Amino acid sequence: MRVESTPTSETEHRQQRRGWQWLPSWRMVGLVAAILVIGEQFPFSYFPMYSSFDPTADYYYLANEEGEPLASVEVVGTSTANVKKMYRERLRELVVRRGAEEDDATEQERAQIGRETLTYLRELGLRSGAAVPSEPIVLQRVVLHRSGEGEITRQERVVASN
Amino acid sequence: MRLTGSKFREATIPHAGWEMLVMRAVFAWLMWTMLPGDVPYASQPVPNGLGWVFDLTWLANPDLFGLLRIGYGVALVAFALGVVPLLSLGYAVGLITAVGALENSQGAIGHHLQLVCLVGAAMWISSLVSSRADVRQVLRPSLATNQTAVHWSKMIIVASYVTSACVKLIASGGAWIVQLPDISLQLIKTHANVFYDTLIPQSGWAATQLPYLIAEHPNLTRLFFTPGLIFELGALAALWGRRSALVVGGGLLLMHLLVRWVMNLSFSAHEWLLVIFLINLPYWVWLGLRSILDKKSA
Repeated sequence: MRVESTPTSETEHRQQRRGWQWLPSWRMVGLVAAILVIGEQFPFSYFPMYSSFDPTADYYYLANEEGEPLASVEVVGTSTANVKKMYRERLRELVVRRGAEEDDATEQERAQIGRETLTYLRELGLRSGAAVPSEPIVLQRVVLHRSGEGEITRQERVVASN
Repeated sequence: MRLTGSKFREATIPHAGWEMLVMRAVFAWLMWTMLPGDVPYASQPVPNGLGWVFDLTWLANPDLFGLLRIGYGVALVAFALGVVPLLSLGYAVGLITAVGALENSQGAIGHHLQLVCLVGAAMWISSLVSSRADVRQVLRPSLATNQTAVHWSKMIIVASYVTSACVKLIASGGAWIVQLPDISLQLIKTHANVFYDTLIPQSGWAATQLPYLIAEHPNLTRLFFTPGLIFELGALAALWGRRSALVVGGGLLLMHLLVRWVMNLSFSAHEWLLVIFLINLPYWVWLGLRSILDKKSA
């Protein structure tokens, strides 16, 4: 395809660099480095979603005392993905104080943070105009595992109720 | 003659005024859709980013936020028309960044707002730099100033994708492609999340069969998902010119659409930013029409 153009509309203000011109400019390298260093501090982000995968993963959901699932967005005004993040961030903050990591959290610590998260979620739900139930809400954790043969198994447990 | 971008080096594309008007208008619309109708967060339990510096909970005042939101709409219209971007865009970026920081200070970091805020901030900083050099640019920036602002926007988009690719390589110890079959668990997780958000059954093929297919066929999985990483790493090419921006933008958009389909996970703001600044469809439509008209007149 041939495209006619005027010099002014087609002139590019290219960087005057010799050789290896396809390499990123120093300001681009600096920009990437800055985003990496600043990390997850809003409005900056290095977008770490799905940056690594493990043969084990988990997700969380809300249920009533009978174990029937509740629609998270309807009852607390936020998604289950956010529920998980809120719970894990608070759990991390707790265990870091004793120099441990999230995986080392005891059942008691998980239950304590689970209850605190549910309290926060109830308040958030009320402020968001969600239909927060008066009965206790249960936080459920589901752990998925993929074996070397590709078989996927699922385990479920109650974290806390509030 | 050569099309823009025929050489492999970073270039500021001389976009026409009408192209940038369309870009600003669609970007302003995107910014409008990203601002929530109300802010329910009355506390900052886990401060993040700007939340460390400022107490932003005043945004939860519904009356005040309603007024701020009206001002946001007015500012975005002014920005789209290219009027006083220092004030109009500055106000809009300031408000949406403050809301985003408060939202991300609840202990759950989401990733739908960052790139919109950064692109807006990049355009604003570009305007600021131009205005400092020439005060006349404050009211109505020149064509060249707008071109620079668009280029800065592209730079921040590209840098974000390249950074994301670098993080994949760093976090996985260089084994991201090797680990890919375990994405099957993430698929089950994201579909379960969508179900437990609303209790609407996820009965499609992508939700019920694809995760198990992926788990059982690791190399097929790698074949489908690896191009996404390559496009992210190669996003730098989007700065070479219009054609490379179209190819990179199209590839990254395809990656997002694939993720949307298989994982039920959408990054609509990212998709729109690619459409606006890299794919730039209006230009290609105009070029196609002009080519047809030229042939007819010849």
